[in-house]
Amino acid sequence: MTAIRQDDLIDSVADALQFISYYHPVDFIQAVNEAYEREESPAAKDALAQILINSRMSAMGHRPLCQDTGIVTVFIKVGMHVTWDGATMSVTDMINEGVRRAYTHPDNVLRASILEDPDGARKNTKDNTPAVIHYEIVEGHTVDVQVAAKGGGSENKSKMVMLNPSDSIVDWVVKTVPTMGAGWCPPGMLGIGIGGTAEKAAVMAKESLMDPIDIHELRERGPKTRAEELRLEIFEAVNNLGIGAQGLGGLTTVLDIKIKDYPTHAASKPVAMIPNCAATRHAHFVLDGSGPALQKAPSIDQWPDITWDVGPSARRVNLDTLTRDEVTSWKPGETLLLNGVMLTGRDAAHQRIVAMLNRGETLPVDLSGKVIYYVGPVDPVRDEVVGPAGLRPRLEWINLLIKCLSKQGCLRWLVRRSVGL
Amino acid sequence: MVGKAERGPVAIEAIKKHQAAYLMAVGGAAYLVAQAIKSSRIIAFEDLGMEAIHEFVVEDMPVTVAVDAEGTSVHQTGPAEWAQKILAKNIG
Repeated sequence: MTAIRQDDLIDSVADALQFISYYHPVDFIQAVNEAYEREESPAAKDALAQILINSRMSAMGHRPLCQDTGIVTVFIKVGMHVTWDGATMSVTDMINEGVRRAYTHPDNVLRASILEDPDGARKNTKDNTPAVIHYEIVEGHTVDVQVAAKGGGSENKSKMVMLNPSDSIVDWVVKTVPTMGAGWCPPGMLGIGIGGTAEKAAVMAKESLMDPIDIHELRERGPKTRAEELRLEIFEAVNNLGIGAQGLGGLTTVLDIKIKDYPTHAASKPVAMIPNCAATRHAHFVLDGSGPALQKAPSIDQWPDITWDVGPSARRVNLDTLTRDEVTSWKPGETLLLNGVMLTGRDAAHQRIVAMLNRGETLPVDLSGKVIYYVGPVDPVRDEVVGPAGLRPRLEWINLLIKCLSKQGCLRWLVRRSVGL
Repeated sequence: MVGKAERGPVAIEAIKKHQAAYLMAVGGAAYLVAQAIKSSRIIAFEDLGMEAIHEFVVEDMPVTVAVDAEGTSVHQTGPAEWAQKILAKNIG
């Protein structure tokens, strides 16, 4: 019997979540760097450079890689010969306590993105709990835990199908990936679950994303199973689509394809596909009764020291004096450097604005003449002016602008002569 | 508006009609982008937390023109161009 202490699980979960908020897995960084070095598309190469620089800065500053610090997903395998020494909480409560401590850590506050009552009030739980937890009872004397913080953008592009047994999985993937657009933030990985039942395929797809990137090793040693053959076939077929980093067109769309399979019913071939974005975040630890299992910080030398210069061709834009002629002179793919004032807003602000407009109320903020940046930033720590603040636009904002125009003309400037809809 | 990833046909049509543009920054490069934000304050809906309306003052925030005023989207032209180039490479 191994006795596991409640605090050891809580501390290990909290430590892993803090760790993955700012350290990309080293295998992922190496794979992005390889993609960067071989990329021939200038736009995609720029995007890859920004991802690598951002990753290095996050690793050095111990601040989140991405403003979406994810929904916590845990795969826990509990050995049958384990006891929980003096525990006062359920294992689920221990894991959630670890999540709570990680996301409210004063040195590196993470964004709380979890809403309860998902089709109702959608109220933020404030501490990013609860986690989604998958349990397995296994032979042994240890507790094996995979912890991931999965971004919403890539999760939203998950796909599932019940294929006929004779259908080609490669064909389905090649047909489906272009419909997912760039919102899953390529380059990343595709996790694919094949077989079992509908829900088993989805769980396998997610769990497969916990494995390290090893497609090149697989190619060198050669596939031994049908699942391994499929990994290579899908890897090549998806990269041939030319989607590229951030969907800008380029040589690398996926860094690896992960597959797990399971026996299935004679009538069925369930397939689930879950993409992992460029903010790939997962960590593994094993509790053996000797105390908490804390993550070991990688050396910063693991990150390539890339300098990225937008170059002399980049145009500086003053948002406060922007004219229509200037906007119409911008060319697709051109890099701009924005200067001046912009406002942020996301879904909840949008909903409230629409409700206020519908009631004929005056908005508390004058949106006319302002550029809107669709973002929910992380709270700042120490001397930061703002926490990590990437972006996540939605069509709803565009609808809002059209609605505003017809109602009050409040955002006319945006549409007539601004940076966008 | 500034955002990440592609715009759909409705948005592109509206951008074209109103001679606007759509700019994108690199999704996932949040910490890098944050360095360009020189000041930030909440100006409305403070109770919404991260979803409150903030006013940012930015300095040299790098973005890419993803849809121009003519309605040309790099998310359509880029992948189409590179799929062709990859095909030509594989044949060649």
